[in-house]
Amino acid sequence: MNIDTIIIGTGVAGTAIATKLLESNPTSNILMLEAGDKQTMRDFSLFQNFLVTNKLPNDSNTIYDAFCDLDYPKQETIGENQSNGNTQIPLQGGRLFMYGGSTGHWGGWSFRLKPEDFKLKTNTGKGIDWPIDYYDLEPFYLEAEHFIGVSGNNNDPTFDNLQYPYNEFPFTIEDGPYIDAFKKLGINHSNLPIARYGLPKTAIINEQFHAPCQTTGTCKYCPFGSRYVAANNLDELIQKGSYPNFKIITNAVVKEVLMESKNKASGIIYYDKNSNKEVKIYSNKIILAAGAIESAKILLRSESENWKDGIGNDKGLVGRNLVSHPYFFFKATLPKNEKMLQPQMGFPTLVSRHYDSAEEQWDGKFILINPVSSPKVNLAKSMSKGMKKDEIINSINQNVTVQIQGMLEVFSHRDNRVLNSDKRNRFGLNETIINFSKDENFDNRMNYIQSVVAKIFEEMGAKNTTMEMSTSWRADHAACTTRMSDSPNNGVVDKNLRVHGVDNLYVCSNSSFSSLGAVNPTLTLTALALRLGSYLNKQ
Amino acid sequence: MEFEKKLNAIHEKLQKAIELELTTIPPYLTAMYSIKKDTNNKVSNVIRSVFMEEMLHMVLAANLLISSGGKVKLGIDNIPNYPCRLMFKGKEFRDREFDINLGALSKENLEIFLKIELPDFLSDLKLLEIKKIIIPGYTIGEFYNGIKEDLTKLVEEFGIEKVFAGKHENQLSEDYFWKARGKIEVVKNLEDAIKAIDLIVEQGEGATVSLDKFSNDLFEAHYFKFNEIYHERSYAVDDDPRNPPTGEKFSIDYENIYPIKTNCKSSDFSEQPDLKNLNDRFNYNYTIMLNQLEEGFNGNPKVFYTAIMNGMHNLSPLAVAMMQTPINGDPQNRHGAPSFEWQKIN
Amino acid sequence: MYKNLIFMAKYNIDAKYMVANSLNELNEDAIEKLWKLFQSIEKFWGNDENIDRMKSNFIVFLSNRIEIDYNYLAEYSNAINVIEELTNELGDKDAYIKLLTDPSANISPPTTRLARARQLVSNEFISLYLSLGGFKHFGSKLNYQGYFGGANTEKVIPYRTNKDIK
Repeated sequence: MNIDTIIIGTGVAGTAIATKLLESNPTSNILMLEAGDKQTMRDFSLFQNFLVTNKLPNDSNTIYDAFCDLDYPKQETIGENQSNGNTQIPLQGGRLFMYGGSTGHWGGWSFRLKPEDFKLKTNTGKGIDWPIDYYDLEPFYLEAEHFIGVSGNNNDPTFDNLQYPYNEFPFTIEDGPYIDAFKKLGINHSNLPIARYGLPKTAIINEQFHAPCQTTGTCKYCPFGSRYVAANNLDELIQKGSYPNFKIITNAVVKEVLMESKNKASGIIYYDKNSNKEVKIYSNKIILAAGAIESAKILLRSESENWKDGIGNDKGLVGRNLVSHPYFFFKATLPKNEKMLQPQMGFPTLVSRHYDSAEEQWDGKFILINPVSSPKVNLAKSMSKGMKKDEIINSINQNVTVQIQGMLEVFSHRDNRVLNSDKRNRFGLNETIINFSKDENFDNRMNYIQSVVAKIFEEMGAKNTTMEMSTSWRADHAACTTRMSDSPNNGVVDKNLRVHGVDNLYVCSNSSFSSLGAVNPTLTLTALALRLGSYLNKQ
Repeated sequence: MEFEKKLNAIHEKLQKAIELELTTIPPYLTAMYSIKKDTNNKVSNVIRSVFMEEMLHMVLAANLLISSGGKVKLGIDNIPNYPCRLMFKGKEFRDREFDINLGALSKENLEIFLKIELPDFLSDLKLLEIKKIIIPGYTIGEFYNGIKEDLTKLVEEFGIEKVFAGKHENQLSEDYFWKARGKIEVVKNLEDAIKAIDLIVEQGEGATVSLDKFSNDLFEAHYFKFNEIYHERSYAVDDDPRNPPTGEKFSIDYENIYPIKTNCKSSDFSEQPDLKNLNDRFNYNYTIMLNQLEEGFNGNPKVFYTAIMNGMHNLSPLAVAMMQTPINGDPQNRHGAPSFEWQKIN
Repeated sequence: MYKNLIFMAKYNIDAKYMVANSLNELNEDAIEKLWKLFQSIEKFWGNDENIDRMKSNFIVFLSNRIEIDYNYLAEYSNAINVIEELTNELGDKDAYIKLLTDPSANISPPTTRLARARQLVSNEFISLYLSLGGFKHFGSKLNYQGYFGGANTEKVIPYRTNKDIK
């Protein structure tokens, strides 16, 4: 039997697409390939291990079982990958080579892009516009919020017609001082929408009925499976037993896509780590859902007579225009903390998208978060040091560090790109070469952000605003390397995520974003995936 | 005191209800574990959902017991040994008795499951012998309805506050998520109690009163789901519940069921370290889980989470590992299976 | 000559990898001793209240640690031996205080038996203790990382919100 669809990657994008295709045609022949391995989820021992050691099962314990890129090579260590340009984007820990993809360790923040994000070029002259607009994606945002189970506030004025499946998590007492300061300064703020199942509104069983979040705060390894993880979702699809021709193969490293002619893909070659063999598989259509870095690299390394520089790369755009999010950390000191405010949960509840607005788009939108670690109190650490109870209490109720963190939108440049290295990593994949240089305006923008943050801290009564540590460029938010466009002259895929010039090859990943905005990409990715599923069902 | 006596009688029945539900859980789990991974998914999903609902019933019965001031006992004296005799004492000297086994999924075991879940309105079976758990009522439904009547009479006589004087915060509530049909009800008064009992009966038998008054999802009840598996056929929408299903056929791949020995005991594995080790660990986890459930109901609800997650989650890999392992020297080449015995914590 | 000989407490001796035959399964006695260490955490930082409600979870924790890494059997045996030696030297109460607070036990890497008992055993017990409710002694009354606060329901929110006065 011919395979109808190959999906490369078992993250949330691949999972959403598979779900849609199977809903429409349960006997559809779909093969999902995953370069990584399966990891044990919802295991109570692993949860307790995380609790006391702060180590996730997918943190690099040994080089044999790690699920992430290693650090770049240093003098003392071998490392992996290569970074060029004036700014290093650390790949280590960014993406997970794992069944379920990076949802295995994500925080669950689920933001929609705003209407102006889709018109970046029109509004600022930078980058390109998306070939679709917010309203095209709106119904799929709603579907995505139900698919991954987002807890949010339906009265959030940031968007119209919100219908979150679960109620928002109310602001914590720690959010209080920030909210008071926001109000005084006229800064909008809202509940952070988060992919954590809550209590369902009805008691009727539903195939996707999941354990509600029990606020354990150990979100990165949720023992209940309440924070969305594609791995659990895939397990359920298989467990249903309703999809006889749906198959997932792990430890399958895709080398390249095969073309039977210039505009028709025929299949793929993958390397099966279990049998140490190369395998060729043919199918009617192929969807790359392998993350922004690998999806672009797969296209690039699929060279043939018809596509000398890689599929879809005649204009030299594949892998280019790489953007990511700089994540910034500010702190200040609060002299008095009489209410003994300290972290209660493992996820933030308060966000301000005030500066994530049309007005700020030109200079760079940014969001502000009250992070989970604020105010900085670590009881376990203090007690492990042998501090007495009184000392600990004193260290909490005065001179406590408070934090504001956030992300900034930066703009695509042609020379910021990803490439294949000839070296192979432990998984048998080509290593990655990243060229990335930050914009010359970046530091100015950060100064402005610092002044905004300083005002907020001041209003809270906190002193000495400083940058707590250097800005981290988040590889997990890499995007735009196979961006969507109307014309093949300025993008790689069309508005239906189909590679320009090829009839049956799609890229559904953050790489297909035309721009990244100031927010985490996962909800948008899920919406695009569900939309692609709908589109394919109609063909 | 009159009140005390009557209340104690109800407490005994509720404790019995808890034990009854607990009795059904190991057989359902064993049947479920005996299905090889990724085969017969429809069947394992059905058994899983039935088992989850039996846990829910146990929890509801415990909530009822606590709400009326009783204490839950889940100790070594309250868990069954297998084969376990169930005896239902009906009216007019009609009794039912049969053995429940820990065994692989098979037509014989399905027949037993059908007997356990037999609805009131379908009962016209006859049977044999003696006791281990004596249920006052010809069917589970009749038993629970009896408790309902007892509670109603007691409330009429002595009032709600006197009857439902237990610590409500010790009950399991909807927070403690339940992946099954039905919500966990905290029981604070007679209305809550009736709701809880009706839910148990409906989920098991499909009807609380009689054939004329059943809900639309009659065929979702345990008895009917088991019947579908037994006949390898789904119910059609307008099927008569008194007859076998006539809807879509499906097949059960009995080749992909582990050939386990029925009613294993730990003594079966005394000469075989791998099975002994697995069985001991299984029983250890099972015992801790029961301990924590008991502890949770009796005043420390925070341990429920650990009981359910740690316990439940640990049990299946151990069970499956056992079922994949042949018993040394077994004349029929049977594989091992957990014995669900009480294991002293050490 | 003998005046200059300083007796080296065994817990200051370099910890070598435990030889297998010094390992025992954790028996009831060992569990009780570890439980006593756990209780000493409450004694030192809490209100010295009865924490029996944490005991079953504590036992589950021990069994899970060993399951994840068999070496924990050795570490628990070591911790018990260290406590015994400290008790003989300092008496019941001060033995635990030394284990929980002595800075020499915080050396990194933990090369002495005392340091291993602190960093691999009592520090982990501290994290567990906090997550089972011990955090309440430090002001955060409702929730803490690792504590099963409960679901976010309309009636009860399992953490202090900004609407809470205290």
